[in-house]
Amino acid sequence: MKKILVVDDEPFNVEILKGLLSKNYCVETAANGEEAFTKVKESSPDLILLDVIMPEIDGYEVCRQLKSDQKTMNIPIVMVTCLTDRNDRIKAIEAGADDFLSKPIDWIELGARVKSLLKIKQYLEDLEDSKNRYIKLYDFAPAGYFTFTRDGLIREVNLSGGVIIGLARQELMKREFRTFVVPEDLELWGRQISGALNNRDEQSCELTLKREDGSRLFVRLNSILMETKDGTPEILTAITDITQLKKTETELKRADELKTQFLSVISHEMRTPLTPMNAQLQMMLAGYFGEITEKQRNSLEMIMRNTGRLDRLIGDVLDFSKLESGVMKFNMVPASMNEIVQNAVETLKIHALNKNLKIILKEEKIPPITIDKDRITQVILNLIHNAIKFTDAGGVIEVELSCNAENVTVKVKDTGIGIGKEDIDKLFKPFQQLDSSYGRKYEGSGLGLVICNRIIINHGGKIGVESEFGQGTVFIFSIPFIHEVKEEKVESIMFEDTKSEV
Amino acid sequence: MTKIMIVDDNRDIAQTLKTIMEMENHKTEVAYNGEEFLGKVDAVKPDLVLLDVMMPGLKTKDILTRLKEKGLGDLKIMLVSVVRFSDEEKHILKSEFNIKDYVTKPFDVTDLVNRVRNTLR
Repeated sequence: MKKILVVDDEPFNVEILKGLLSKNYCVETAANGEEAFTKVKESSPDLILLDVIMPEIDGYEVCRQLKSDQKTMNIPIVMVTCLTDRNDRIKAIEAGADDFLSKPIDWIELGARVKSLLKIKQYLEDLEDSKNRYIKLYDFAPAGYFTFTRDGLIREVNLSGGVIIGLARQELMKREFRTFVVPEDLELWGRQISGALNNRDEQSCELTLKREDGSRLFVRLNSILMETKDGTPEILTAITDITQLKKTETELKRADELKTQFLSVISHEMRTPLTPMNAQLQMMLAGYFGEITEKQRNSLEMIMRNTGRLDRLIGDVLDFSKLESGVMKFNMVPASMNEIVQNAVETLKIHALNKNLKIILKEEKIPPITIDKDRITQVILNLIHNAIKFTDAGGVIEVELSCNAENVTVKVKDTGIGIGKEDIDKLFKPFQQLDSSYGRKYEGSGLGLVICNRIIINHGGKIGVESEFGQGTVFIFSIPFIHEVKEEKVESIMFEDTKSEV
Repeated sequence: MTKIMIVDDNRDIAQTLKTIMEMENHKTEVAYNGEEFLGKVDAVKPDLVLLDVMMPGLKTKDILTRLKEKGLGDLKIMLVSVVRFSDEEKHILKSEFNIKDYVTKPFDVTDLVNRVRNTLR
């Protein structure tokens, strides 16, 4: 409930006012000026009804004093008197009174005036409150807020802005912002200001500031044009310190490059020892070093199978690292998809038969298409190989090749264990072989489909899968006949070959 | 009898290639880096060189350039590499250095033998 202080030396008047107001307000009273000051201090009322004629300090003086004190100046004061002279009213207004009531008091008028003054006071308080809140937000925002004139002078700046430059706020006022921009970025700064002035859109740029102490700061500027009430343009600019962000970004990039380089070097290094192992085994198996027994043959063949598997794993890691870093070379030439699919099916037929699987090829005649033959073969082999791997004996694998005016489509359908919905999303992400829950273990790097996906994307195509757990799986990819080839970074081993001395 | 020079910094690979070539009834000579190869090649006068790519020391391009400078641009050379070449690189290798065939590591012995036979023909 709002508080009203009634100041009057006449107890009868006090009683009447109290009676009229106490229904809606909490009413306090004071019999003279001194008492009024004490009460104001104690209970800080929302409004004061002040009698003019009082002994010792009169109403005008009380009003004047209250209005000159910072703490009480915002309390609305209504002067109440039986004086009706025009000069008295002027005197009251000059003393700072907010309103004026004549005795005898019309109680309806009193109610209306009190209500409206209290409303105004509430608005003023709200305004003050939001102004304070705005100042706090402005000053403690994590970004520096600058207001620039059209010539780039600092007109206003928040606390964080001062921190960014390393100067107190007052020292920044009216300074030219360009004096804090490094010379090589002055052009950027100029463009930022002219851009903001000429466009209604937000302008942003990244540049380096030299702070007051000489240190450098990498910042992002976001500017927008505003107009003051009189139509003067000014540029509001938020400045964010992105030094750490940039540093982290550079480190991250470097770490990623190192990873790729490491993968590439290590894969090449691993292939080197595999080379003599593999060749010696082939020579032994071919009888170069004399007859071998059946048991020796079985043993050597087992070693061969495993060096072969190791070589494929290394190949996957190498392909993955090349695709990741964009140094994979694509040899795009016109080729026959029919031939590629036929060869792939032929290559893996033996594997399918060994597992007692039927493999069917359905194809229509496809016009020549420009692709990397080896890479597309790799994708088809991978998909058929997966189908064989995840289908139990007696199953059927269907390879279907078709096309329309724009695309060639290859489908590899199996009757295997299928893939659960929750796992489908993982399929094309690195190192995510969907293992144990499937109750059987399957070898592999978990990179095959990731590589397939990248290869197809590089051909401007799409790869997808439809599957239900236990119901078999269909992998489908399509590649367009015409697509723009991206310029890949090509790392030439011929002309840039380096090798660390081991 | 044909003479084959084998250049590879990995001794086991060099030894393996030597064994295979000897099985094919070729005479062999081994060098373990580019400098050694360039030093010996005039005296050995090989019919074919099996040259490793990415050896420490001299770069492959430098070895091939110096060979050309020696007037041995017509020498038959097969590159044995752990990395596959792009069509672009193959084109440069063919037009500038007369290199016609390649073997990638790890290699299939039968395939290698066939390629060597074809190149020597």
